[in-house]
Amino acid sequence: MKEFSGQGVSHGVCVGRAAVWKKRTYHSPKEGKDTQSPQAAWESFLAARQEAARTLEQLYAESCSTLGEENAAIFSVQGMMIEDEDLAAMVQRAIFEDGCDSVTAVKRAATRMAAVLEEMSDDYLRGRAADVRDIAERLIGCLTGEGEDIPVLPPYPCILCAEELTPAQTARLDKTRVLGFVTAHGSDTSHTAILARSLGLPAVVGVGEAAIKEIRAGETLAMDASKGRVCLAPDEKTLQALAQERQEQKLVQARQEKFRGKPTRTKSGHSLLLYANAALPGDIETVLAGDAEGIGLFRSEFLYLGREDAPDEEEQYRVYADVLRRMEGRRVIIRTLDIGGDKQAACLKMAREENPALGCRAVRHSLLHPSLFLTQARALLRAAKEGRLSVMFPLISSVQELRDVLSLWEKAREAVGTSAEIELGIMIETPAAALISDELAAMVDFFSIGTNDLTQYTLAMDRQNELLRPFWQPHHPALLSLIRTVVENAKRAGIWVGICGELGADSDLTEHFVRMGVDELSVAPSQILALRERIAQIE
Amino acid sequence: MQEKQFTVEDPLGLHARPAGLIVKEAQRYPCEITLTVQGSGKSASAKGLFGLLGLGVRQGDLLTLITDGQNETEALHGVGAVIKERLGKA
Repeated sequence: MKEFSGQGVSHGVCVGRAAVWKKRTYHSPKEGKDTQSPQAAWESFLAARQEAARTLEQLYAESCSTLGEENAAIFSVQGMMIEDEDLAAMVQRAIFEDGCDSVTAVKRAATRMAAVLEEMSDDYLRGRAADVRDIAERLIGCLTGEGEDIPVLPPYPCILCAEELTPAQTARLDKTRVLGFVTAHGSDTSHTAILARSLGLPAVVGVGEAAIKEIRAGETLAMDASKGRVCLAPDEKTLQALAQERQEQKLVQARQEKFRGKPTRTKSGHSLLLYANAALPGDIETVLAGDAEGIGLFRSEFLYLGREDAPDEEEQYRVYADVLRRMEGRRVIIRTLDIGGDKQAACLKMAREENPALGCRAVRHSLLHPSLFLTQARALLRAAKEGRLSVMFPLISSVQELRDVLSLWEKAREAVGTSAEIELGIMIETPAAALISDELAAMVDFFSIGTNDLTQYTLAMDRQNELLRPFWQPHHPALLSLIRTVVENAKRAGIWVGICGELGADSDLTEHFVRMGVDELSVAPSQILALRERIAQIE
Repeated sequence: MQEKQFTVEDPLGLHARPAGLIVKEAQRYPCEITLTVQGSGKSASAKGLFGLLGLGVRQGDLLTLITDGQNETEALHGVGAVIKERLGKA
C-alpha cells in the first residue's frame, strides 16, 4: 500500500477503482521554416483563436445555468486570456522571428506566460498558470483539428486520476460515473477545487506528478478527501478505518432517510413547511432528491447573468413554466430580480456606486426600471398556471415602496389577464422592514425573513470581511428580537412567515423558531432530512 | 498626459476578473494607458491581461494610472472608474 497526500478540497470518503487519464500529447507539424509559411501559420493562429474564443463563450453560457455564474467565471477569464494582445505578440514573434510553426509558437508563448505567473508570490495568480496551459491546449486542439480533450471514463464508477483537470473537463464530468478525483497539480483556489466542491465530489489535488505516475488503471484507491489522503492498494487497516467512517456517515444518513416522505412535525403534532433554496433550474433535481416540500426561495438572477442582453418575456416564461412543472404542484416561491450589490449583471449596464450594498439593488432597481420588472412580472403571471406559484419582492424597506411595486404588479396582471391564484409576499431583510412589519403584514400574503442580509444590516457588518470574525454574532439578541417582532406581527395579521436565510438551517435555533411560531423554513436541499429529524425531537 | 492614483483595497489584489475588466475598458481608447505600482516601480500597459497580472498587485498597493495621447481624459475617467469600482478607493 502506498499513501499520497495532497490538499483535500472537498469532503467525502470513497473507495473505488482508479481511472487514469493522460493528457493528449500533440503531434505538431514538423518544426522548421519549410512546412508552413509564417503568414499561413499566423493566419491559422488567428482562426484558431477565434474558434477557441467562441467555444469559451459557449462554455461560459452553459456553465452559468448548470453551475452558476461564480463557477462559470473561469471560462470568461480564459476568454480574456485567449484574446490578450501580449500573448498574440509573443506568438507572432515566435512565428516570424524564430520561424516556429503555429503549434510550437503557441506552446512557447504559453510557457513564457505561465512562467511569469508561476513566479508570483500570490497563490491565486500562480493558480492562473493552469489557465494559461489550458488555453494553450485548446488553441492547439483547434490548430491540429483534434478538438477538445475529453476524458474517456471506464464503464464502472471510478476515481479519476490525472495530472490536471481543466475547468471544462471538470464542469462536464458525469457525476454518476465518477466517485471522486485525484490530481497531481492544483490548489485550494484552483478551478478544479471550486468545481469539486460545488459538484459535491470528494477530491484531493496537488499530490504531485510522481504520485500520479504510480497509479495504474483499475487499481483500488481509497480516499479521505477531508484529510487529503489517498491510498493506493489500501491495506486492511486503512480499509477498515475508512469503512468505519463511511459506516458512521451512512448511519446518520439512514436515520435521516426515515424521514423521507414524512410530514414535518413536532412531537405534539405541530407542523411546519420545509422548503429548499434554489438558484438555478439545474438545482431542481437536488431539491427533489433532498425531499423538499417546495422551494422557499428561487433566485431569478441567473437569468440575467453572463449575457449581453436581458432575457425577454418569452424566455423567462419558458424557464418559470418549466420549473413549476418539474416541481409537480409543490409550492415554488420565486423572488423577483435581486440584482446589485455584489451581484452585477452586464446586460443591465448598471451605474457604478460608492456603496453597492446600500445601493440601487433589488426592488429599488426594479422600481427605477419598470419595464424590466414588468417583463419579469408578465412572464411569471403567464407561467403561474403550470404549478403552484408564489412571488416575493426583495429588500423592501417602506410601505410606499411596497405600494409602488404592488401597483406595478397589478399593471402586469391586467395586461396578462390571468385568473391564477398567486400569493404575493416580501422578504424581510432590512431592520426598517422588520420594525414596520405590522404595517407591511396588512399588505401581503406572507413574509420570508432573509436572515443573511438582515444580520448584516442590523449588525452593520459585512459577513465576507475576515477582519470582523471576532465580532460576528449570528445569534445576536438584536437579530433574534427583530425576528420575533416580524413573526408576531405576521401572526397578528394572519399571514404565514418563513425563514429563507442560513439561520433557518441552524439546528441550535430550530426549537426557538418553532416555539416562536415560524411556519416555514427554507434551507439547502441537503439539510432537509436532518432538519425534519431535529423538529421531530421537539415537544 | 493625465494621471491618477488609486489604493488597492480588494484583499485579492488585482486578480484576473477585475484585470480583465480593466483591459476591456482600456482597449476602447486609442491612447497609451499604463499602470505603475509604487514601490516596485513595475509598470504595464492596461491593455494586456498578462501584463497586468504580472504586476503582482496586492492589497494596500498604490497604483498610478497614466493616460497619454488621443482621448486621454476620457480614458482616465473610464479606466479610473473601473479601477475604483473593482479595486478600491481613489
